[in-house]
Amino acid sequence: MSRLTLSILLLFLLILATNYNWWQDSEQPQVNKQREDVWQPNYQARNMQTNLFNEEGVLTHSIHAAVMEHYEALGFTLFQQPQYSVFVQADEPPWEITAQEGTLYEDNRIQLETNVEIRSLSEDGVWQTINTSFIEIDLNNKTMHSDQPVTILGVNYTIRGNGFSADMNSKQFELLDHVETIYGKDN
Amino acid sequence: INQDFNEPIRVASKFQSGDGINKVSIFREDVKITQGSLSIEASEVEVNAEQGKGREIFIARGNPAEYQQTMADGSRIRALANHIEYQVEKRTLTLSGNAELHQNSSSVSGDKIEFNMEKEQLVAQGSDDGDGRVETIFQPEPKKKPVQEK
Repeated sequence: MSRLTLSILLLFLLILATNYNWWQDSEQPQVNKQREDVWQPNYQARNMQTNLFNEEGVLTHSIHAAVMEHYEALGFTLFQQPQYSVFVQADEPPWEITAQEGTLYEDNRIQLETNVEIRSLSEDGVWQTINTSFIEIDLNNKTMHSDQPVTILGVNYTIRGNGFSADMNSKQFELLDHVETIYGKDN
Repeated sequence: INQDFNEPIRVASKFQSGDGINKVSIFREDVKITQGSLSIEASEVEVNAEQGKGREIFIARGNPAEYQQTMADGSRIRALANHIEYQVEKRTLTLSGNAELHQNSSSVSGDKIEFNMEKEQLVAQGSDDGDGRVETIFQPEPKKKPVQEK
């Protein structure tokens, strides 16, 4: 490494150092451009069907939606008219869930909005249908939570309340703001 | 009274929780059960729906819980007890814990009273430990033929 190349190198570093902010500035506009992209879906699918399996290869839930938009950077997927089947226990038919719109987050939480209907396909199931305008389902531990008015139709009863939470495995449920439950043929 | 039993049973309360597997629901905080003219007010009600449709058992607990219903002759029967169990299918009421039943001009009190709501008659009364105080003030007069609605 002759003295000449050393001094050239030094000179080059010097220039670089003094212009450091120049190099920095040019970075700025680029970031704004990138933020706009974030709002564009990474990919979009129409009439798509996704089946998701757990480690043992057991089907845990499947989604059919008119439109699906995945937003990688924002970490969620939007569904239009999602039809969701959640398989809770092997010996039990799945729960069918439909709504106007659904948002699936990376931590396996799905929020469903507008005309949400959850149907249990087993006749003697504890709840036949659940209707509400918003619900969040944690697909990992199969729990549901809503803070909106809800109507739960069971075998021979109807429950109305504001907000509820339920565990699809243990079938425990709770209404903190219960309005009324009707037993008998009125439901 | 008999039309009551064709009516749906409504339970209002602030809080409700349930267990779908053994089909038991718990209602808490100003619980009110109504079925036609029947009403039961309590601080807590447990509903056991294990035997299925129309065979629910309502267990009301309160200090005391209160039951009321309009009899065939139009008079209002009233009962108080810490524990009121309403068996929907058998149409019977089992009162226990400082139980009192007031019907027309008679009233009965004791540790345990069983009442057939359809026949409007006392089925059994007494106390669990055998030597508890049981008091009947006046026997209800024989049931008049229920007046037919026009």
